[in-house]
Amino acid sequence: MKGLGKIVFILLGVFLFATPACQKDIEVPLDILPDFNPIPYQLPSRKVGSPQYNIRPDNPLTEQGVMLGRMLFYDPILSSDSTQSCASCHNQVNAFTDNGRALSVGVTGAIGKRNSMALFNLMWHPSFFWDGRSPNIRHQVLRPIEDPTEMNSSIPEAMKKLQNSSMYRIQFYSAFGTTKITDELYAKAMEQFLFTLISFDSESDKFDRGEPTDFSAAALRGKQIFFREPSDGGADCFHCHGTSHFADFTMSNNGLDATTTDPGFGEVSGKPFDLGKFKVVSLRNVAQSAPYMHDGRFKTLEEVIDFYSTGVHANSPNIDPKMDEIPEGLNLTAEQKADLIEFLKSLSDQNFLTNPKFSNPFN
Amino acid sequence: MKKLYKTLALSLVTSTMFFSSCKEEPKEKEIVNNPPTAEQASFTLDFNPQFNGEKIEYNKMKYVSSSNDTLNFTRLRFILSKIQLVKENNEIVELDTFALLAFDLNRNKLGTNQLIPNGNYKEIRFRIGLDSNLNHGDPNNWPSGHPLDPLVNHMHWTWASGYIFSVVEGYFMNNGNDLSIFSYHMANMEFVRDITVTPNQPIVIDGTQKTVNINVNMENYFHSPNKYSLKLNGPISHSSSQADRDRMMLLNNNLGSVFEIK
Repeated sequence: MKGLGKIVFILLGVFLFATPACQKDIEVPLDILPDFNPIPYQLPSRKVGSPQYNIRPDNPLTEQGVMLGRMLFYDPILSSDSTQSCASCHNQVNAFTDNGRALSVGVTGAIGKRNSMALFNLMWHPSFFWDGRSPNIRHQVLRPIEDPTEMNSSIPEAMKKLQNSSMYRIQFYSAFGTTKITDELYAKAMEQFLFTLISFDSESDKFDRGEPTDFSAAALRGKQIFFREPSDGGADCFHCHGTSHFADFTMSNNGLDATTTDPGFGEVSGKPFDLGKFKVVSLRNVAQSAPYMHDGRFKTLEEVIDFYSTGVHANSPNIDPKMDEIPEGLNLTAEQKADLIEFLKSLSDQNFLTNPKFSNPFN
Repeated sequence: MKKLYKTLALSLVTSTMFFSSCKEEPKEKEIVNNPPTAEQASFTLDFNPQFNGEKIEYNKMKYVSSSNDTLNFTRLRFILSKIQLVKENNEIVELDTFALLAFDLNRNKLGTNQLIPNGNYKEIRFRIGLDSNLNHGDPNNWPSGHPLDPLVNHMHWTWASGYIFSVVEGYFMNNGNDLSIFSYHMANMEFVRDITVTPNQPIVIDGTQKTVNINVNMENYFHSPNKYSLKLNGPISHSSSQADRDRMMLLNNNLGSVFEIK
């Protein structure tokens, strides 16, 4: 039995480390390979007023898988010159957007086409990117690797770099029971980490749940403006930014431009009536995620509200019928605008923005 | 090392079990869900949105109402509940499901796993809207993908008001070539509407799978019994102000003539 065990041990060593050995990587002694014993990851208890968790059955969250995803998110190894990670353009304190930049700069110095999107509550999103070109997060997480304006690498090249790393071979083994690193497993690990980024603990949420909160009287007035029709003294925000996500995640043209300047979803669907449409994004943590819109044209919330109050282009091609009452002009007063901004600020979730579980694991 | 060997052996056994159980699963599902018996059958309602007998194509500016409005449709959605089949002897079979009809997303069918007893059915009834408890309940309690999940139907209005029961949106030609939005969001309990559709011939359920086609005649939405002009009556109603509600009541009455079985 002892002899058989030894043979199995040697064969496994050859099997598991054949590829890295060929690439002249430092061999990992098999005795430091951990047991494959994935521990279920416990998401926080679901808050009242938040939706049911929506974890994919083929990728249950585990401690090891989530940690692997977190490492991959913060590790610049995936970019062509190993200088940029996902976190380079998705900073936690900015609700995982790019440090106030309108457009991000890739490893070659090339400038991206659209504003870096906030990352939270992703398990509920029906599509990803401003133009909705990725139907799920596993598809999405592979795209920046090969985008010339982002990491400027290729998926095979990025996977090869991971495969050559003993640290990642061990971590993939812990998470998935194999040291053979594939883009599919990479995407699953990323999905696991990204799905843990949950944000339903803003002052507004606490107010709705009847918990102690700093939610102010001005924020409450702003909330009423947010959720009311223009005919009722409101700003009609809720038609697109309703639900517990403060977004319906549909593709919509909000009348930013008189003519189409970026095809948006129209380029994805190939249909002329989708030109100029972009994803309706969540307003949670919106005070941290400036600048705003798909091209980051508005630097402040004040600019955004001014746009909706008096700047909407009613004749913008394919303008969303949900904008029906806004083109005539909301004409909000200065006080209404200030209250609305107070409410938007109350959607910030400090626990999320500072949660050490989401921070750089290499620090 | 012993531990590793043991772990590998265990994994092998587990994965073998896993794969064998995967192979069995579809067979079990088939047995549970599929077969109509001699006494009952599976049942589907297939809704066909039309304008003057022509299948609606979305975003095409080609429909002319009886009030001479030229229009197109961009979103056409209904939430249905209390779906019932009524036998000739007035026995009622109620389906234990809701339906989200999102015609602009090609969600036209209401299928159910429920088997319907054999018989001749004289009517199909359903409610456009929800009862008060459902309408004002926490929409987050529905699992992802459910017809009442707000991210599926995009029809949850506000916490206080509940769901929008029907959405009819699009553009129309206003004053020549001026393109304007029209948008009718029917919400609030006062606009819950019970519909009865009576086919010319009884629907026969005879133990085999049955699909019933229901035409959704959107021409009647603007025409019968209340002739409704987008320009004159108003292109927008969200069921909120009194003027909104007056407009919506005209259209709510018209809903009774929209659904038909030919």
